[in-house]
Amino acid sequence: MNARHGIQVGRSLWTARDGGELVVLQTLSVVFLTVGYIGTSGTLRIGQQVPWVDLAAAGLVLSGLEIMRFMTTARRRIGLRRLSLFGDVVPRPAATRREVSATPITALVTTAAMTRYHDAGCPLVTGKAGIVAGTALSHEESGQRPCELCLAGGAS
Amino acid sequence: MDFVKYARNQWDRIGAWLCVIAGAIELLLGYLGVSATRETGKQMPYIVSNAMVGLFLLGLGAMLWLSADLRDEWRKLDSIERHLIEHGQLPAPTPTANPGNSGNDNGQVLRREASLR
Repeated sequence: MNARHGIQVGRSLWTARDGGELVVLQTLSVVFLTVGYIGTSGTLRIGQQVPWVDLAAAGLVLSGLEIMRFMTTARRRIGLRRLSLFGDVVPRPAATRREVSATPITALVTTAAMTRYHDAGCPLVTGKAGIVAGTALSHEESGQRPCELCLAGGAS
Repeated sequence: MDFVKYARNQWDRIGAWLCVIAGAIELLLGYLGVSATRETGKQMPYIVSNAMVGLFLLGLGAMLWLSADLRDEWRKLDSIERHLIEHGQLPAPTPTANPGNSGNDNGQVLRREASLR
């Protein structure tokens, strides 16, 4: 953490909740696989084995889905943070390019009452009271989405 | 000694390799078990215990490896952000409460003071 600026630069990529969900669901997957194995090996009749195989397969699918969620969460956070630091490098329509380049890349603003964050020059936020600036990451973490007018193409 | 230090720093990559190796061994054992009998009822437990567990371990290994890469990238962004702040190229942030997300670690959200007109 950078004490001088109060920024938590060293914050973790994953939250404790992300890690907790991963551990719980992977453990559940292991339980499904174990129970599936025990059930399957307890009989030689295929008709009785099938439900246990299904249970084990469900465990495998659950594991895969949770891994995908875990990784895409991280990928998305990294993308948002890169966007916060370096801006959107995707070319925008010529009509909006001038305004974008005239605005600092970190000047993404919102207010507590808004559900979206905006470019500082966006007419939807101009003149509003209680404006706070932040990064795309910080706004997204607060549950806000990019404005579709001034941040065309979104922030992800 | 150096290996211990390496293992501490790269525990996720070492874990990934261990999972991948274990997964490959499980798949091999599953193949050997299934091919040793022609009775489907006896083959099923090998499919569940070895094949599926092998796939589970391979997935876990891949996740650990990719998460190590992502964590490296995150650290790199940390150092870039720190550098930009120290050189005044990012507005100084001020931590505030995060009303919409108070039960989450993301409540550590930083809001930068507006330098608006």
